[in-house]
Amino acid sequence: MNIESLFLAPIYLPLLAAALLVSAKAFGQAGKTMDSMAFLIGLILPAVCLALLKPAIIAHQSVETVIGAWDTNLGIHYHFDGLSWLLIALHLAISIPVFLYSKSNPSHRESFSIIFFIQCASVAATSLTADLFNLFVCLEVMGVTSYVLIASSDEDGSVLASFTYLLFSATAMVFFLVGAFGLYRVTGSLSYALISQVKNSLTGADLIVAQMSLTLIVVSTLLRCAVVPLSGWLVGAHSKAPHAVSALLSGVLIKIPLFALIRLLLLVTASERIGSILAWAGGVSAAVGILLALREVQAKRLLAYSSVSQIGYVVAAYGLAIEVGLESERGALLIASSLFYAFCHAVAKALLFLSIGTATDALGTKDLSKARGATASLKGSGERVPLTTISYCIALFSISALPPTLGFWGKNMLTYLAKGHGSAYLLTITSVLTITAYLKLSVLFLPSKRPVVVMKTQSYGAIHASYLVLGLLLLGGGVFALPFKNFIITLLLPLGAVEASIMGYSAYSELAKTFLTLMLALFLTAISTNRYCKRLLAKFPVPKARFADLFFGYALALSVMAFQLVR
Amino acid sequence: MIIERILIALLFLSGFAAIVGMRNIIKKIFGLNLLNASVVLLFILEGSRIGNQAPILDADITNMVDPIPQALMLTAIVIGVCVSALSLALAVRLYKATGSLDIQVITERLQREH
Repeated sequence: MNIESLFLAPIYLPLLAAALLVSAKAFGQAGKTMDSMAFLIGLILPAVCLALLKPAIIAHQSVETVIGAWDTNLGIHYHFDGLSWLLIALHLAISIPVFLYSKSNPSHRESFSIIFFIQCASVAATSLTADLFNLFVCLEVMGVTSYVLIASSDEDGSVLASFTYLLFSATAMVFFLVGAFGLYRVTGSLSYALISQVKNSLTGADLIVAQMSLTLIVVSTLLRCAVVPLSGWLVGAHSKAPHAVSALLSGVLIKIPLFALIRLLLLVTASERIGSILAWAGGVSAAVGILLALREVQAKRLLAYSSVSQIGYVVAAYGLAIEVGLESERGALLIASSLFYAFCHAVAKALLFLSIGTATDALGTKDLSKARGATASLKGSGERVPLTTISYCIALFSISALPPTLGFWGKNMLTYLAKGHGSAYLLTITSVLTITAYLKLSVLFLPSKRPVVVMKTQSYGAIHASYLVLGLLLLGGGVFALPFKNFIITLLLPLGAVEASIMGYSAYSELAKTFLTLMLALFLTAISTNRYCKRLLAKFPVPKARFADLFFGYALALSVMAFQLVR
Repeated sequence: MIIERILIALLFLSGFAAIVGMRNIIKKIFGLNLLNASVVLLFILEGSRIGNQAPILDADITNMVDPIPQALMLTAIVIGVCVSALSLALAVRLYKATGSLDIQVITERLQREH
């Protein structure tokens, strides 16, 4: 199959689906049939296209093209290679079950689907772009659609969360634009390829301008990835959004900008310095996120804090990979394990948000100190097979890195490779605390002595279909983890990574370590009910998502990054 | 050239101060617009360093401005309008839900209901 004719399909097809729904709505023809047709065009057809492109990608073919056949200095450069393929595949793997789930929601409307498909197109475009200004446009489209989807929730406070995120992120994107201006001024171009051609000839004031511009661009993009100290907006936004949207935002949308940035970072000269900051920021995010999750008493907020913690793993491995360079074997393995873990976390977190969302809806409360007996309530509301509980258990195993799930392989390989760097210790501590935090969340499913309250009855067909897709991905991925990992390593070769395979890694010693982690976590859970322990956790300051605090975090990130680059 | 730059920087700073410091959410949105406008002006000023005529290809045009920043800024203005429209829509919903435009009052009222 011809690669040039297909690689833009993941951008065009969702846009086509959105256009179809808009016109159907305008002519009063909107309904279930149109929605299903848009689902086929916007999500299933791109998946088919990706499957057709797979042989070409394995053969390391890549396309570098200028959209609209403009001159190379003027047009927008798009680059399709293994990385873009993986990112789009990751997004489709989550968005297909999430869309199925969202259809079960009675307030599912065409306007939701329209925005959803525009977001799909923007994700695909972000993974493909090799032009700074186009990256800005893609990130803005991704952002605007996220704000709308978050505000589409019926819950109190969702609009405020969306507004806070909008104002913070839109301001940061203006700084991104200033950064793009600086780079354009000193290099005379906005495409990555042309910027990299002149990067070595920069000296004196021009070099400082270029470094400052890079700082602005990198920090503004990292804001979308919710790395500490830029993560203040995430918890409100992701916990107030509708469940399906939370799953998509927490699972995929915080990771795409990070990996889209790698094309730029690999080209600049000071990338190893940026990498070392990212490695530390990742470790700190992991630890801070999980400590905040431990003291949280609201189910979806706990999951959102855990997202901050888990993105820390991805960022730490990513930063280390850039620091040691993709040409070295360790760097190549690290970047592959970073993407691998991004995939593990995306699937597990999506499944967690969907199952916990369904369970708390059935219970009518999200408060972990009160909510018990979710399984019985779900049964009362019409769920015949307790698939919500089973899915939650699978996702719990994966996120706690217990065999036989995908997460076991992902997290253990990542911490094994990160060994030797300071943030690896933080990651190990986080692994223990993660299990403790999720055990705390599991009380939702404990049997309750109180009579079962039935909030509403509904059909669980579409919900179960989405659970099955995600659950099978976690279990199947656990069985085929090694071939999957090798597949990722092969696909990343065109980025300049070397062919590598993990040596000295033994699954048996990892099993022993996992057992130790689990025991430690159980012990911690036992003592965390102690009131001294509770008091200690209560001392940990809870960040409020006030604007001054958010911008303080942003300024802090900017100054650390700028200092590291210029020194 | 230097005076224009100082003015643009002042515009930028006043927009940023409004976003961080003002409690009224409509004023925050104004601040975002000022911020956007200052960056647009910066790009346009930069493009005019090499010429002063509109970049429309005609026979007798010799010293035209750099067309790329102008093309980029058209896109940035469109995005800015979208973001402003959406943020104003959210502001209306916040006002309807809480009866106030003050961010602190809104936060308090939403938390109390919760």
